[in-house]
Amino acid sequence: MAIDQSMLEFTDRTGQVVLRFYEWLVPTVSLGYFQSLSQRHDHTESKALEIVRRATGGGAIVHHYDWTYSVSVPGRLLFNYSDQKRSRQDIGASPHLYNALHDSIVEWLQREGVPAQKWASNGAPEKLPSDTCRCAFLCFERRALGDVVVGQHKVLGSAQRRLGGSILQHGSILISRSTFAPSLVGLTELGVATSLENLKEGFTQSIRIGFEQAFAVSLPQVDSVFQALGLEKHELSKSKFHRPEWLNSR
Amino acid sequence: MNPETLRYNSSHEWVGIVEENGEQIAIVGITDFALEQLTDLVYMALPQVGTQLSAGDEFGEVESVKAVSPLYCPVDGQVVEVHQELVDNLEQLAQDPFGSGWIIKLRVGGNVSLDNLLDYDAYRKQCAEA
Repeated sequence: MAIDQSMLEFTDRTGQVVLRFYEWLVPTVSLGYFQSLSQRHDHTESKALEIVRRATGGGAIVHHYDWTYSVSVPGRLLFNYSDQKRSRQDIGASPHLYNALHDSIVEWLQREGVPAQKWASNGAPEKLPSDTCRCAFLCFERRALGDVVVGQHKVLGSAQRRLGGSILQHGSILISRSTFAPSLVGLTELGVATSLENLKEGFTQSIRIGFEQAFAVSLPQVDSVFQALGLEKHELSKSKFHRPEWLNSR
Repeated sequence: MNPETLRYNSSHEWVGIVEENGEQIAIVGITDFALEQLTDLVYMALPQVGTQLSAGDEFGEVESVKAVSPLYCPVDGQVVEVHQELVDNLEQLAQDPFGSGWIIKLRVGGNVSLDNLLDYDAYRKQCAEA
């Protein structure tokens, strides 16, 4: 989480885009920024796991058989390539960024034979009860406009945080059911037939290409996010994300 | 508050100066335009009374359905009152953003400068250019 925050600060300072893909060393719960820590105790399957708090909002994610991306985007790009009035306003979500990546994921999954669509787009499944949409502990049990779903099952969710004119977007794609969140199914259970290796390649390429096409940029490939940010790993150990007061803030 | 007499951050916070008990008090909120952009508000976090803020500091955060956005303080001052009721009733913010939807009050010095802020016409022009 500290790296994601560093990306946002770097982007706001330099105007450069950073795109990152990552997995988790151990199964971990990430709480949404405004979620109460006490809520985790009601989710018995995951309550023994490590836990962190994200800078982005939304519901908790059990990071086990999922892949995560984050991208930090400067205001100049959001201004230049937005067809949405609100994206130019330094407050609230950027639908242009959100849709760029989710549309690209939907197209890729459909090419893989998975009937993915965006929630509440034409032909989307009927809405779930409103409490499911808003209040569920787990992100993947919530539904918001634009989430990527397969039938009733959400497989990709994203959320944003602003800093000045810049935005960090963070998202997770669910690959397989986890014993720590057994109510959720992933792409494997939903019938995706390709190998995990191809799936990962398809995911990362979809996010990258979706972004590059939507913002008319070409992103250089850098092997290390620390190299991209000009950061030493130890510099992050002082970040607020490591402090108990951050996790316990709500 | 009358929106036409207020001053604005380009990031959509408004401020009005009033006198209360012989002190200069800055009342701060966010604009109707910002609320329109945020759409559905879900959560709000506010500072503690006593917090010292400078113009440009983050004083709170709002979460709409897909984004967390910071709120920026328009003037220097010390927080003397926080509209805590809003946190549990965000609809009030949308219903009356320039009145009962105020967010914080700050004690400011007698020489508080509003020169770096937008007036009503300039702020509306910024919104119209979006």
